[in-house]
Amino acid sequence: MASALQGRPARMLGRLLMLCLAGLPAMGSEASSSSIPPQGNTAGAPAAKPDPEALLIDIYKDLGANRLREAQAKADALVAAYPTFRLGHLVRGDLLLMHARPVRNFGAMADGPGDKLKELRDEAMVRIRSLQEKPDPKLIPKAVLQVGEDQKNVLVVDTTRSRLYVYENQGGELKYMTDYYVSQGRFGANKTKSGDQRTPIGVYYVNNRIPGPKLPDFYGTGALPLSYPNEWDKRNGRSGYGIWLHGTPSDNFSRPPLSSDGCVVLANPDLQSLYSTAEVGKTVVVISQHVQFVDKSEWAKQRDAASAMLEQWGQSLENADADKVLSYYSPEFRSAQGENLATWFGRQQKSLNGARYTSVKLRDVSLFRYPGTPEDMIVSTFTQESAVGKSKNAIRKRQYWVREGSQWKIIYEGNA
Amino acid sequence: MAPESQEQTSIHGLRGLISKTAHKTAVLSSLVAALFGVPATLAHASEMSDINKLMRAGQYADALTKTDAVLAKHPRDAQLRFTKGLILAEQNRSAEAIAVFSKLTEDFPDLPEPYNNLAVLYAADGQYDKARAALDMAMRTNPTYATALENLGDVYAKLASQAYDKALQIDPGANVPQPKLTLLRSLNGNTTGGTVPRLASAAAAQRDAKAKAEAAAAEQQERNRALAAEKLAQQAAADKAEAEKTAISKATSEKEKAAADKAAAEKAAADKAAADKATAEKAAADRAAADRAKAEKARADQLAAEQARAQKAAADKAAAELKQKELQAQKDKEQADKLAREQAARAEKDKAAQAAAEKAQADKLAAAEKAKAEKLAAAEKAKAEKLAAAEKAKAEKLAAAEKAKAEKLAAAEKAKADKARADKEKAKAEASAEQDKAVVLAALNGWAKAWSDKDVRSYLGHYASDFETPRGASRKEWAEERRARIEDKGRISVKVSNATVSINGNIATVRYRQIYNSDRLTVDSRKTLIFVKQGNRWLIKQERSGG
Repeated sequence: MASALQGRPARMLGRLLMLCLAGLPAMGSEASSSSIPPQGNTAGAPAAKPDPEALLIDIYKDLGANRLREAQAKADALVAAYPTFRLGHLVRGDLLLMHARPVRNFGAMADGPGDKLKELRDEAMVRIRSLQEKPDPKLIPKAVLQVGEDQKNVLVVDTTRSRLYVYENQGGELKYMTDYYVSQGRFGANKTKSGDQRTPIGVYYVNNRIPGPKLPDFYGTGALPLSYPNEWDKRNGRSGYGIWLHGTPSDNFSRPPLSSDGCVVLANPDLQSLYSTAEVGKTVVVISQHVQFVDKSEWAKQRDAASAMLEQWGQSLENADADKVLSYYSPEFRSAQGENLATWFGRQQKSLNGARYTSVKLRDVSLFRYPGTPEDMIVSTFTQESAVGKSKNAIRKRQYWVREGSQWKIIYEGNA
Repeated sequence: MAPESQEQTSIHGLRGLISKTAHKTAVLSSLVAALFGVPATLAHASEMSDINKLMRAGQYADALTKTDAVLAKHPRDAQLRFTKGLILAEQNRSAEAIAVFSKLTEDFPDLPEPYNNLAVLYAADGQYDKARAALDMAMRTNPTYATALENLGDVYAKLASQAYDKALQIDPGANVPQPKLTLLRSLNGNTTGGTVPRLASAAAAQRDAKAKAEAAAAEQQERNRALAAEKLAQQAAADKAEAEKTAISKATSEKEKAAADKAAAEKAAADKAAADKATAEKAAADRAAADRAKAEKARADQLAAEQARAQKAAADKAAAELKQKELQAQKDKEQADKLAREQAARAEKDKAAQAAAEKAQADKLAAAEKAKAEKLAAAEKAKAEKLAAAEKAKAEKLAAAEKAKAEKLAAAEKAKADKARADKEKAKAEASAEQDKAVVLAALNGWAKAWSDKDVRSYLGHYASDFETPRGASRKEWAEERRARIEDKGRISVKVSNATVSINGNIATVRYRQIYNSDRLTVDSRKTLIFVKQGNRWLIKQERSGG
């Protein structure tokens, strides 16, 4: 009798969910990305705990298909396993309320605080959509052109989808591992100045690892500070500091999509798995407003072109022809100290003392297409090993390249 | 997951519900058999078992043929008709199954099962409003369940609110009112384990079935008893007539003869009234037997008794005795309810007591008529004469048919005169009734408006001081409960339509359709309100669902 009584209210929310879930490929619980365990984290997570997002999506699917009893059982299990997962409590509340009155929306609570309800509804929508817009594991984010041999993995954040994708470097090839729900700044992306509560768009390096016990509870089980503002941010006058990847407070399993001061916030178990593999100065976080994916052959083509561009510059150094070298630099060039091209280049030549490179080799090269710039831009990071006669030296460098007409030109170069 | 496949899934789910019912056919059938377990069932028990076998084997066409054959012999049999509905549902003949279950709900409005199955069929067809209405009626077969359901809704709402508190990090208990659940004030109706089969476990089903078998047997016995009472009354009337005549022929003095004549005339009138009354009583008893809300019936009887007494100037000893007997009968019945196992035996006793009471009432009515017509007869005398006549009836059995006829004619003449007087009064009453009807309707609308406006003071003001509160709650308890129920809703809308008013003296019966709509619940139902005129206002004396 109870199920028949539920029929009507369930159809209202069910119809809504049918719209939300429409177009989803027929998938089981393995549909959720997070159910693919990230490598190197096999020891950490207790095996028996269900994946909360997978369970949540299953509940919504059950709801959409009018399987209310199953949905209720899963909601009970979800909040039992994750008692601080507020979205789990919300959907459980909706399921219970259906026994008493019609439920037409997520969080049908009467007279609830509107802002908090909206945040939870947004989280629900973002999580459901992430399942629909899940990237094909065979595709590769366009922004990641080449990762260095020394980089184990690369993290790509999509602020529109509230998602962080993890790719592993397998001999220069990128392999999709998993993805996580993330929260960002209260006012979204495109940080420009201190206190604007936005998340920056760009290519950043993890430059520290702070374990949870050293942090206030607010940051959860750990933090990975990022290199914002980087060379490009500084050149564009962007200010602020303290943009981190970090976890959630102990009383809150996940935070609303737009809720931080600019940090990228993950659920503690997800943060933990990133923390365990992150390497200071090596792990790259590409933060983009809309991650584009390309297939492998297109990716290889673009990588080869970018790689050749850098290689040609390196070879030009072996020739003493200063004009040839200068042709790789843009008139807009500025050094880290703000010098123009002539001043900076003169200083470089001077340091060589009239000698010339007998060989130039680039290793541990990474190349990223820079997100969020109107013109094409590539950031390269590499170790330059050069020999002048018998004396050798190696420096870690970073360059920003922009396309001017058909040519790629360097507009920034400095030590990394 | 395209919408189309969703649709299929949900249809499949509901079909699954039906086939689940069928899977449990064995349990359900035995249960149903128990439920309607009447002597007639024993007669076709083996056929029933054959039908069940066919159904279990999935041979629905054969099962249907067999069922139709048995039904031809027992066209009213509820179990057979229920089984037919199941078979038709199993054969996807939804429209026909719906027709069968619908008719069952009309003929046996107090059985929840046909309503439930109607709801399943309507829901499978996407007619959710109808499904909901049917389930609502199923719950209403037992007011206890309706209250429990409403309480359950409130508890779910509270649980939901706790979940929301956790979702939204609201300090629990800060400003959340506790739900006001309704306490049942009495053990109403059956204490045997409920009338809606849970089918959750075989053991529970068996227990239910047993309890139901006993209840059903008692019910049927009540019906049989009513039938027997009718026959008995007719027989008694004939016997008495004969006895009177014999008494007259044997009379040795004029005085005795006059007395005997008078007694005979009285008896004949009484007998005819008794016979008429017995027929009426039988119809009422049938209906009452079908109605398991025994408390209500007891109340109705009591009301009837009180009215009869009020009509009579000579409220005599017989009335007192009747009242005594009825109280006893009611008490017996309540006891019978509590002891399901003894119910059969008890009910029999109740019914016998009732039959005697009815007979006494008939006699009493006759006496009253005579008192009005001749202002002579004392009730004690009548009773004494009746006793004498009864003894003589036992002793002798010779009847003069012509004389009986003549006496009956005389009685008819008298009845005609009575009727003429009654008609005159009625005509007078009807003239004012037309006017009153409009006033009663205005009272009904005012009541619905006060309810919709959540104007509790005005709402309660529409109830008579002697309003019959449900479940025997005190006026104060009832008023408090109503206040709580009305005030804790966000909004209420009560719409009244298709109202028909019938007025009898200062009592008005209003049957209408009520559409109740709150932020939690929508109920579209037939209702009956009994208004009573107090001063120049019509006030609600009784509230009933159905109508």
